[in-house]
Amino acid sequence: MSLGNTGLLNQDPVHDRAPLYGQLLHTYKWSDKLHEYAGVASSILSSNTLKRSTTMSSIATKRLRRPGPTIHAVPQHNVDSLVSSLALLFPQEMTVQLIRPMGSSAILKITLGQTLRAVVVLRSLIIEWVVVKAISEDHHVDDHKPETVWSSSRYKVFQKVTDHANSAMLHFYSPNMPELAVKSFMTWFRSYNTLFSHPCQRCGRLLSDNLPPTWRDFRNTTAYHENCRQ
Amino acid sequence: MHNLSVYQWPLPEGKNGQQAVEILQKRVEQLGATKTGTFCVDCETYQSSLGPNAPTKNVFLVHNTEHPATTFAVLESGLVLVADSLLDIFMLKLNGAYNLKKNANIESKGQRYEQMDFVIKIGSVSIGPSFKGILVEVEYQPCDIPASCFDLMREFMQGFIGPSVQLPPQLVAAKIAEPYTPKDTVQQYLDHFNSLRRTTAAGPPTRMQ
Ligand SMILES: [Zn+2]
Repeated sequence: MSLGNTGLLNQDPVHDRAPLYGQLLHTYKWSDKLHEYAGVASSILSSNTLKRSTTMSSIATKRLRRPGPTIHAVPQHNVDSLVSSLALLFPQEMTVQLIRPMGSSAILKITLGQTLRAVVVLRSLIIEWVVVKAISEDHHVDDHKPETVWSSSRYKVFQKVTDHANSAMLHFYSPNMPELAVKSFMTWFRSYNTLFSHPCQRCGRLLSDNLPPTWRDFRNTTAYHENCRQ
Repeated sequence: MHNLSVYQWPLPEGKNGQQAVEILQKRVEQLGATKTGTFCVDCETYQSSLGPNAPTKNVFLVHNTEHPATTFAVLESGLVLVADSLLDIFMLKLNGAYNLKKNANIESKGQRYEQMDFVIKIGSVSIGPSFKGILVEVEYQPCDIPASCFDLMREFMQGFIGPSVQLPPQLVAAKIAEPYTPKDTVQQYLDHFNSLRRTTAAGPPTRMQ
């Protein structure tokens, strides 16, 4: 196979030592496939009406205030004011502590009653990472021990809640209305206050596979076991 | 740190201690729990001898394999001192003021199991060579507040102990909304030890409280 003038590379006498042409062919095929897959994906996605990104081409877009590409770089005081409004959402059950151990990125330490603690990493106003642990587990994110941010809980129940919190983070993600997304996430997350005491809506029991109902419905925060949700 | 309940398990009709432990172990293993070694909770009694007219007071020294470097000293009033295990040596130095009571050492010893976030311990209690009864300990590690998770623990325990488990142990019920501490475990064991001391193994099966 020869790709136009690049075929001349193949004539290079030092070919054995510099397999440039082989790599070039490989790259060409790879980018060709990428193009093909992207085409297929594009046609599938365009038939799906549920969109999160701002590629709406209708007139409606013009009326909406477009936040533009600056969404990842909002001023720090915007983040601060969002966080202080979060603290006021459920003052009885949820405490929110803001720390910035690694530069401008905000990390929220959220304590939910006496039930659990979560570490939420924000990139400007977008939730990037959530990890849920027991109150008694190590949460000293501020004293230069980054592994406490990234490591998971040693308890199965909080590993499951972390998984579900991550899927909620994706569900509520909305670059157009980032503040609403964070608030919706918090409202949903607050329902874990009753993690150990709220029976499953479907089977009425507390335990299934020796775990309490770790799933909360995204719309009405009803408690379900992972296997019991519809 | 975690939430825990200790129950006395009455011997089934016509079974001895060893057989009863085996029945319980079999049930727990059928639930899918995995063996994670053995455990022991023991208690030594020291008596004060401050003079011929002074009333004797007891100090209980409790060790728990779950906290290997710690000795818990408990006064009759219920006050618990959590100390380094050097306290044992210190107590020997107090010989004269406090003397180790002979033949009063009591211990609960047996198999430790884990299942998901639960820990189960099945211990047979003995004073020296004589068998006194069976204590079942169930711990739910992720939660510190008994009020939040006792219903869940009950559902779990009923899976192998049976429907007789209804209420949390008295000591847990008394401060059900407060965070559980290792001191509470020591107190629970001590209460059971004190009541088991008075019973004979051959006696009528006691109802679970
Ligand atoms: Zn269920």
